[in-house]
Amino acid sequence: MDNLLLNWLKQGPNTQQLISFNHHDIMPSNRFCAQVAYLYQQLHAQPAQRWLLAAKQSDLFAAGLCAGLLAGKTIILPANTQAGTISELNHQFDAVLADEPVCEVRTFIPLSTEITPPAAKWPKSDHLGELILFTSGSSGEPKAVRKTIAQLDAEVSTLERTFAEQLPHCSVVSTVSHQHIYGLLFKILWPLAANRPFLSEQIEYPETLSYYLAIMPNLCLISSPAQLSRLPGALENQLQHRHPSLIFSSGGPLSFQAATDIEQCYRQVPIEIFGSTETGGIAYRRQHKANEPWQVFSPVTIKQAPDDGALCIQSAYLEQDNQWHKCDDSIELINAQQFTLLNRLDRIVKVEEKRISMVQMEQLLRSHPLVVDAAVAMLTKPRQMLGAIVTLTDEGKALLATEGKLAVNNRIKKHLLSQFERVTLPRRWRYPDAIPQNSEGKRVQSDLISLLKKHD
Amino acid sequence: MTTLNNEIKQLIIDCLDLEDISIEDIDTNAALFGEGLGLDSIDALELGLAIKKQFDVKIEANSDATKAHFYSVASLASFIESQRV
Repeated sequence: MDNLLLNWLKQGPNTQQLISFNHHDIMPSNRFCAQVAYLYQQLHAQPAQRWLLAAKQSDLFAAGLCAGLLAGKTIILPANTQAGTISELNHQFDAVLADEPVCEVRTFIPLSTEITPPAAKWPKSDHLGELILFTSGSSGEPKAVRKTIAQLDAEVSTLERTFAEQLPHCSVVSTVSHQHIYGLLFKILWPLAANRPFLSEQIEYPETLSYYLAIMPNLCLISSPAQLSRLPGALENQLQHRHPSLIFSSGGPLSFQAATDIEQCYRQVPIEIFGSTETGGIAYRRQHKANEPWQVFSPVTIKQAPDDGALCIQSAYLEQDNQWHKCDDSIELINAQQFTLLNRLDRIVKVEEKRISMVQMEQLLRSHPLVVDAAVAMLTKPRQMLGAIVTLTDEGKALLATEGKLAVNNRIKKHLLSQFERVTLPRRWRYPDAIPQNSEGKRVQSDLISLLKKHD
Repeated sequence: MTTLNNEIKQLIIDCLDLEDISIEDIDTNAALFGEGLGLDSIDALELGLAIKKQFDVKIEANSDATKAHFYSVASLASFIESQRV
């Protein structure tokens, strides 16, 4: 099972491969080849090297991705297509390959299902391109992460080797976006390379998931704690007649409770994947008991940093596979292949699996004309969410007095939306005269949290 | 209809634990998600569950129809009404 992705990319799908499906349409091999060849020709004719790729539908996304890689282009993957995100990446790309014109004045090749290109062979490539993804660095600046086909191939091949036995004749459905590394690998690259059709849409409601479970015998569900922790409630914690063959969860920690509830509905505990955009998959586990240790993937070697207890890895998925890479999580090492996670060592938090730099959010808050200073803290109840403590300018205070708190909240939220997704915005807002500090002038997390817990 | 609208608004506030927002702040015809009230995709999941429980309605698998039902308080109210036979 070595070079699974690389070989597939070079040869293209076999004539029998079904690429994707949805409730009214399928994408067979020949139509996909025609799409890829058509896009490949257009890309080949363009001198631009760095192409921003974005599409809602996974079949269009996959066609654009394959065409770009075969044409030797560098594919830039934004986490989303919000105006702020795109403008932050402004100097990172030359042209756009997308289902809508996400920004003006760039070369633009549209991805569309309306176009029916003539039948064509899979393009031959002498030089495969690569991918650039972005993640929030601890400084607040988006950090570019390069992924060569060799790196992605190593990861896809390992996934197949590790899990294929549990996936007989499966189709793949997903509640997560393919614009991030997890969805990209689990919903697009792995299924393509292993001949498993994927659902071209992203599942948003439990009812849609139940619909596909009812009509398809073997489904592999690619999901995340945000969805999986709420799914049992929607299913009234009842054992379901139809269940997925296999469930994956990644993007953040799945609570033991959620894992148990899912087992009650679907008779199986999800397989959790631990990793990041930079590192790719590091380890996996099934929570049969609380605080179940993580098992590292076979091409990954781990050790613990002596000073701060951080997890260090060597991995074939990294660009430099013979160097130690230090992660931002501290661990307890159980043996050479197993560990438990302790906590994050930087000010990066996850809100509904979106990685957020609290430093970046505070910086953006401070740049608002009504704001003097700001502090952000994480709350765990009633759900994982951020709270913001903000000191206002005189103008801000006057506005608070005349228009009320909701109006001020909304103005500042609108400002944050230029760089943050709505799901991640603070849900608690406090406007004290000063941000709480201890006698050394430091902000103490517990003081911030107790201010946020107290009702205004 | 006004009673039902207010009932839905109160449910939105309670089930999503919205601070700083009262029934009067929610425009019956404005979009609940994105611009408008500003709810997010996780709110959509939780609200769907709460509406289903409180009003005993069936949410369709077709996500386009579901999105239309959940557009505003007004559209939710007529969806709930339509299921009361």
